[in-house]
Amino acid sequence: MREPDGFREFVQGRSPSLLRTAWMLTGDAASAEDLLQTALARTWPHWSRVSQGHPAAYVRAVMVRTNASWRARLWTRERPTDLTTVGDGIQTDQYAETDPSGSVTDRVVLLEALAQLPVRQRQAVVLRYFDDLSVREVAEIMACSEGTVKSQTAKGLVRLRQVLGEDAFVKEDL
Amino acid sequence: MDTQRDHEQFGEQLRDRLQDLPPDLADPVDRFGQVRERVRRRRSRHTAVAVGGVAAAVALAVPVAAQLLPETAQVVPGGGTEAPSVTVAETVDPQTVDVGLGGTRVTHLSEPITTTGTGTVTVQLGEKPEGATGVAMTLDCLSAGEFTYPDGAGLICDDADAGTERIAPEDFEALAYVVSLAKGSEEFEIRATEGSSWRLTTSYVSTEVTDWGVNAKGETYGVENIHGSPDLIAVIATNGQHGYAYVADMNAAWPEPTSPEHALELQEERGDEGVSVPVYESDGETVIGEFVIGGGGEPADLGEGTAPAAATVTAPATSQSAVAEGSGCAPGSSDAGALPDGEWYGLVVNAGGDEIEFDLACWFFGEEATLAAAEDGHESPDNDYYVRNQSDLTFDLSVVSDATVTFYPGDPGDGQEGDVSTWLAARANGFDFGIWVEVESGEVVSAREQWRP
Repeated sequence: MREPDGFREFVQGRSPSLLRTAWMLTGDAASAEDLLQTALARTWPHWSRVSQGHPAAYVRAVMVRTNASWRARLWTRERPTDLTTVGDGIQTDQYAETDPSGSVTDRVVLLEALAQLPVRQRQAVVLRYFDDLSVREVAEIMACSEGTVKSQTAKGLVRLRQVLGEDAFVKEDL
Repeated sequence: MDTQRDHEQFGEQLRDRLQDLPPDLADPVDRFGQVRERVRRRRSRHTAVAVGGVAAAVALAVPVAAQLLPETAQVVPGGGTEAPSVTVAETVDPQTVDVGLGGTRVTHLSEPITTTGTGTVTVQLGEKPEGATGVAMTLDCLSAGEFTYPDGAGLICDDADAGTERIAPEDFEALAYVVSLAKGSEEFEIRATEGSSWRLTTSYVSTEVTDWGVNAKGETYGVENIHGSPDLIAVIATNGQHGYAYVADMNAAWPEPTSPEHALELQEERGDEGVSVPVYESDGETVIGEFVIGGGGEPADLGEGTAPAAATVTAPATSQSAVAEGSGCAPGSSDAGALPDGEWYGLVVNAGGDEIEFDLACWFFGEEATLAAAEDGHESPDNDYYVRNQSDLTFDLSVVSDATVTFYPGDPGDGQEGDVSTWLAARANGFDFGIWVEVESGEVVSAREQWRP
């Protein structure tokens, strides 16, 4: 089995960034590594064509599709315990004052809030706000219209605010 | 602060929080090597489902670290159609492929020819050489869909699989899948989802079943074949050692259920626990490891680590052979809980928001409806359609926000198209019809009711 020219260097150079995206999509390190390796293995056969364009975007697109597919398969499995209450939520400023490990708690709550988003909303939020990609770039990766990206992102943000609490970040930073 | 500004501020703050969220993620020692191994396994993985007639000989070439499906035997394949993935070299010399004692040795009699097709096609194989008893084949999907081989085995591809070369040309002779061919026949049929395209490479072959080995105790050892099982069957132990386990031990440890009630009883008894049997050298005395049957409750790993495999393998058809419309009603044996990309018929158990609880069923039409009804012991349907729903399998399907639904408030000529909420409002009193859902990347992108009299 021949190794495509430049693929090894791509894997070594871009994997750290892609792995972080994978972690944001899956929420745990083992699944993230699995998702990344699956996407890279699926990219390998197409490398000669992919390398002419934007290979990192291609791998992200494969990760997004694969992640959606896995989520559908895991739909009926156990989900993480919901520590928050949708619609009202834990007020961040309530626990921040009493919990010395506030930043850790923030992360746990945010991660759990992300986990509650439907898969397309989570993908749109991660690609827009974590990977800092434009609406057009996200639309290409998610294989949908720019309008869908905007609506999925907006719905995701609304739902995150509901889960985190209406005034989560805004009030905290005042 | 107005709502829009508030919203934008939340987005900006979220950006900072999200970018701080991932922990330090450790790199594996050799990620590239692991990716290469996945690619190699992907290429060598094939429909290792036993060809009809060899009962209980579902042989899967897998690393044995994974737990097993109770109804499968994770034994070294002996069909000669696919080498165990753990023994495949970078490029495989067909003369050196170890088919195992009792396995089937395949001799290629013609040069491979490649053809492409879309949907179901009868493929002309060319002039049949003397002595040819079968056809070696490899099928690559060029688009998403379900593809069925002439023996009933097949594969399901999603968009990411499309265009993937499963076997390199230089490995074709060693790794191609072999199907038998009726005497005098020079053609066979590839069935595929309508509009799904594929590329097929074939060559004529002859096959020969080799002899089992016999040890000093007079016991046979090797792989399962058309003659049945040897006393000691080839397995890969949990420590990676190749050896043999007594079939009698395996049957005693994991008896076949004698009735559905017995199967349930066994399942409750077993829970998630596997059962271990010793693995021996061919002498049947020297223990070199253990082989675990059952346990875990998860599907066997078909060669892609812990990840669910996207291209799934379906078992050959059983006694029911009528073909359902759409993508069928068997989403894949190694893919429990998933509904792959395709168009599926079923009943709506419940729906709301962005989810549909979907009871997968089979919709037959025309001659297939007549055949399916006969298979189920029913009279021919009056209206050219027949629904089979023998499974309790349901799926919680996520629906994309811009999905459209075609529904029929009245006559078939009164079809309307709307979004999910419009459809749900029209069906507030119940779901009168089954629906077809179009699934892409695990989500429903459109649906249409199946009108019926």
